[in-house]
Amino acid sequence: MRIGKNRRRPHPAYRLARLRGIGLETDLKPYLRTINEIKRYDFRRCSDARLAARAGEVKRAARAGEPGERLLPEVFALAAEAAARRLGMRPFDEQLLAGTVMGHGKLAELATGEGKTLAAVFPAALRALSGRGVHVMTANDYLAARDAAWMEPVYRALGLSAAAVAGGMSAARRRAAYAADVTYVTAKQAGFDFLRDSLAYDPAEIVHRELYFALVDEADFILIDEARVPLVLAAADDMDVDDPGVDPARCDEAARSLTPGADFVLDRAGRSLHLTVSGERRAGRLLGVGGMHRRRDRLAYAGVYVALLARHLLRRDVDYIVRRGRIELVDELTGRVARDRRWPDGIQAALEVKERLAVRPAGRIFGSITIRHFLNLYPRRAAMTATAAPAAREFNLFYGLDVVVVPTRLPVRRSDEPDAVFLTRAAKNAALLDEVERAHRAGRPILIGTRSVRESEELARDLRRRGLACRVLNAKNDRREAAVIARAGLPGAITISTNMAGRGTDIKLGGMSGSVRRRVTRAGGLYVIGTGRHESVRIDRQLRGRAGRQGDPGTSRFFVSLEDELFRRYGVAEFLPRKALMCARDDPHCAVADRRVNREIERAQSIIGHQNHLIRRTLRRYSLLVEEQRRAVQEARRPALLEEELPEVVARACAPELGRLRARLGDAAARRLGARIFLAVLDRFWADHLATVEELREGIALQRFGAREPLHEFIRLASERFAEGLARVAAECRAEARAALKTNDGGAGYGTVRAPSSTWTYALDDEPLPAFNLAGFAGGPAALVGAVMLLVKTVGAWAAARREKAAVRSW
Amino acid sequence: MAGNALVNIFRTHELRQRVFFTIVMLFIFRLGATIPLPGIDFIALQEAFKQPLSGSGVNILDYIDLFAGGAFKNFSVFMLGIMPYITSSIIIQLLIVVVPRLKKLSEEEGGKKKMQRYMRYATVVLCLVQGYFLINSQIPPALVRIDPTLFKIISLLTVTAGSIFLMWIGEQINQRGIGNGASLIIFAGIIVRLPNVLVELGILKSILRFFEEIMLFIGLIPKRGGFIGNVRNTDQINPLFILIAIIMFVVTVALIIYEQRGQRKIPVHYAKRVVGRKIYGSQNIYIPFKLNPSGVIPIIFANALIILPIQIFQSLSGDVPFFAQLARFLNPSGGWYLVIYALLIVFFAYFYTQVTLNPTEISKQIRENGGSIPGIRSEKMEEYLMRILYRIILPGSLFLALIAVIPNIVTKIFSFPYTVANFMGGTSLIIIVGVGLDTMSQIESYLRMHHQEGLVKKGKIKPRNL
Repeated sequence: MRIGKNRRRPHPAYRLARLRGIGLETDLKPYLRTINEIKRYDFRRCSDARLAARAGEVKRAARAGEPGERLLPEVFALAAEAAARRLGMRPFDEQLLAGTVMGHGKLAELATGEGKTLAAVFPAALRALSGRGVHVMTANDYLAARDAAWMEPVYRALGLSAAAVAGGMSAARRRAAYAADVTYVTAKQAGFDFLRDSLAYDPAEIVHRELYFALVDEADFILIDEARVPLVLAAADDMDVDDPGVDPARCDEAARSLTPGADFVLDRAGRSLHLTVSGERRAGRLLGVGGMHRRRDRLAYAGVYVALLARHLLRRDVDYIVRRGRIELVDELTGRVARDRRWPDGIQAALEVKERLAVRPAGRIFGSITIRHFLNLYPRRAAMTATAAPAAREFNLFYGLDVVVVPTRLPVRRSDEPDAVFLTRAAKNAALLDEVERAHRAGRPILIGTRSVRESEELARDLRRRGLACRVLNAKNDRREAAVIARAGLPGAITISTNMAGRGTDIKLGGMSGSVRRRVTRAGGLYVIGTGRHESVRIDRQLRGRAGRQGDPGTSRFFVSLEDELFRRYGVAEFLPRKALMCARDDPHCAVADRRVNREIERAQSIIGHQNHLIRRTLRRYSLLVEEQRRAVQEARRPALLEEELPEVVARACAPELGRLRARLGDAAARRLGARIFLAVLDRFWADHLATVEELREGIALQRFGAREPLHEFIRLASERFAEGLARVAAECRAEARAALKTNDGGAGYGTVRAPSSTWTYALDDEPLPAFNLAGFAGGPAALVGAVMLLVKTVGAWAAARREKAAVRSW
Repeated sequence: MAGNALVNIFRTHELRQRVFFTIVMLFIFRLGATIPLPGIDFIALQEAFKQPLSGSGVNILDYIDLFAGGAFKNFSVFMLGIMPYITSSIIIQLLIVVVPRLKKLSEEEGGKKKMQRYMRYATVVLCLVQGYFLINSQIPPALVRIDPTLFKIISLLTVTAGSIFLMWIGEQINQRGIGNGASLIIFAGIIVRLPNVLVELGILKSILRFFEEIMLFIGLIPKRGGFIGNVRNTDQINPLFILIAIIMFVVTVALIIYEQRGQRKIPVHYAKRVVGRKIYGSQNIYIPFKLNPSGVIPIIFANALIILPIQIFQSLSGDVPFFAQLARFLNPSGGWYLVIYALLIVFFAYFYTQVTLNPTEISKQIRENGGSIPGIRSEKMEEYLMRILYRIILPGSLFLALIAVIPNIVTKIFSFPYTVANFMGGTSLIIIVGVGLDTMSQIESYLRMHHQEGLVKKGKIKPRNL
């Protein structure tokens, strides 16, 4: 068997992986054995009808309870034959191998450009045969629609149905799509639908079936990078507001008149700011509030604070773009517009004021779940991506997914050049433009990966000034994506992109034409240039992976300057040996040619990676409890929704009111009304609790000052508040029932109004907690005494020892 | 409902694993505490055990032994205990304050890790120094059966490695077990003395005698005496005193718990919320200032400071009569000693709080995160925090001092053995209670994590139809 020839040798550190519980499998033997079994089935001679009939038999076996693992070889063989006939693609052994890995509920690392879409069909078909829903989770809506349409014939040949869910679909169409055997959907859409379901007032509103199997594409992106951001379902509601605060426009006005440095301190690198005492005073005068210490004053102060934040720390065309009269957030990781994502309310409003847009009303959060918890609700999971190994430990820890590295079909012919490092950004840009021009003249297609919308536009301008035509792909013109990518492989084409082209994008060398393709290949294939390193090595690797697909030649290289934001933020220049930079000192345009510099840059990235991992781990610990509570609420909600049954406590508390309602409305209507009241009260309680939890998390770091572990205090306080709130639910139900009795129709029209209208995710700070640092002591002289004291203590022990010596000697 | 907490501990998978891990680690520590250094004559050591190590009441070696959990007196591989690690962490903490460069380093990215590394290096150095002096002076040559120089080298390396190993165990417990590792190791060392104390008080003997009577009655054993064996005769202590001691013990523990839990909540408001939400229940964001923020550290400092002059005076008393007088004046069982000791504890309580909870630093951090204290003008925040801290430390520290002198008073009034009194009051109890409370709150948080109260009681009561 050919597999294994191009086996990528795992990094030596992974040899001990199993022992250290990293969750990386390097032994492919069991999977290769399965491949041989698959090959034993030969359906080449079968007619289409015979194929479908065989698939039907397997399906019956699966529904009769035959475990999927045993059916795997035959199903895979059937799917492979169907793919060959319907798509004209006979799957490679590597794809079957990846499919087998996923069929066993693991994570397959399949190099970029090896055809993951087809590989996913096998496990999806296998699990779909059981008749329970399979969700294939793609990175974006575009890919969901494309893949579903592309692979549908294969599923149809096996007697299965496939559909895709996209943003903006009606509930009915969603329900139909989820009813299909295989549903292509983004993890976010599926998560939002789940949240919406969990707020349903009527069983008919539910769109999901019971969650069964999730197959996640681009797993590192969805399960790690994205998993940080919770999905949030919000709706306008009669909020329990004491005080609406101060008009954001007035706050913005006040904020504009404050001078940086004197009135507020700005830390751009650390992305934080705070008002000074004089700034507070001035803001107070401007807004006509007094000492900034009454409740109302504090809200005014908060308004100024967020206005400053919006004005000075959030950059247009980097963090967000303005389009069609709306603020649209740009996702740092994908470079795409993050649909329906917002900053927390105050900041969003301040930003809308800053850009002179209409301020949209704030909503109230009714439901929230992280993608991590959502995916863990699926009893079966599998995943694939091109860049999993660096994060194998996290997959194992958070999702229980082991990573299996699948070898590439053809040897990788892409050469990854070492970074070109420059002292200044100007030098970097000049060198980068030269390089692009050279490659362009050689007839190579070039893909330039930039870090922000603004950077991509500036670079395009510079290139055009040099007379080089180029196409730009960024969040602003995302609708032209397919067209831009289709041409990106033509000889001499220059494509500038943000991270948008970083994942899943397949650039075909020479487009569709064979002769052009040969020309491009001879010229050296696609040249991928990165204008700067990313926070995560995985994103860098994804960008590189646009070149050298399916054994094509290609080159990738990053141009880096020590002035790049990433390095400035983490102070990389300070780590670098002075000598290494000397050569570049005299001539700022010369590249720093020192291996140590490259090493340091990689080290910085790994430190950043580790820090991000710690942040995610902390976030996860905080979210575990809330997830547990969410389940408890849902557990009470389900019987009320499906069978209109109330929990014991509530039923007892409201018995008299419900009895009278029954007399007035009849049995069925009263039951219905009771359930509705309970659901409404429960949802309001949950929304309140979510707000409380958010507030708790904001201030929990203060617990350190009481020598307490913030996490433990958080758990204590959050569960206390939860119990307190839950205890009020019954009483509130009773009050609502009483109110319903007083209405004319006896409460028959209750609860028909509110349905969550909009959904969005929140952009959260990376730092979940304000970084309090207990090491920051002061009081120098006093502490000196302390240090001396400790010395004295040691000497004292010694003196004592000496004195005791004589006594002991007498033994 | 949570039901029985103890049962739930073992029902919760993660918690069960963590508790077992901790127990196993502590068991390893106790095992090591009984393994003597290589080259020590075990039989001679056992003989030596029967004599009191020193007779002079409060003693620095008793102190070391207290923190080493009895591993010191039997010259075990864990002779130095985990104290060098704790000392070095205090030293580094204080150095961070004194040396600006170090302070800057600690605040940098990855600074915490670096500090931890320095702490470990310092631990090695401290182990070597302390180990050298103690091995040289404390281990009687009569006990050593191999070449003395070789013995010293081997022992020095062994005790250093032993302490570092304990440090590692502590960190492992932090990571995979439950509670704070270093504290738990000290905790375990103190708690194993309990049987010893009971023996000295004669309680164990009474219990055994009680069982003996019962067994005799049932007919399990033929005659009196065989069951108890050679329990040391300590009948000279009045049973009434034992009763008083037990009552005092309970009262002290209750007082310490009361003190440890005492806190003052200072509400803080963060600026990110631009709309005033109606808040049910209690305030959610606050700084909890503990009544006794510095734990046992003032006692440790005060001890170190007061014992040193006494020892110097005693060693010089032979030559200069004045020093002899001074030494007598400061006699640990005398009244002046207690007064000075108590004052020192109060002083260090203030001092150490100043170091760990600096109002300037706290208010700076609150401000930088956009926070404020309701009712307090921003520029007055430091002043306000300072005033509150000073106000709560006074009763806290007086209380600490009271608990610390209890053993001395009890020894004097009831003529209890000091070891017993020492166990029942002062440092050991504060440590035991403090560590106990910490560990319990951790266990509680794990339990809460997995046992959320819901409206629906699983399995028990089916929701009733309307």
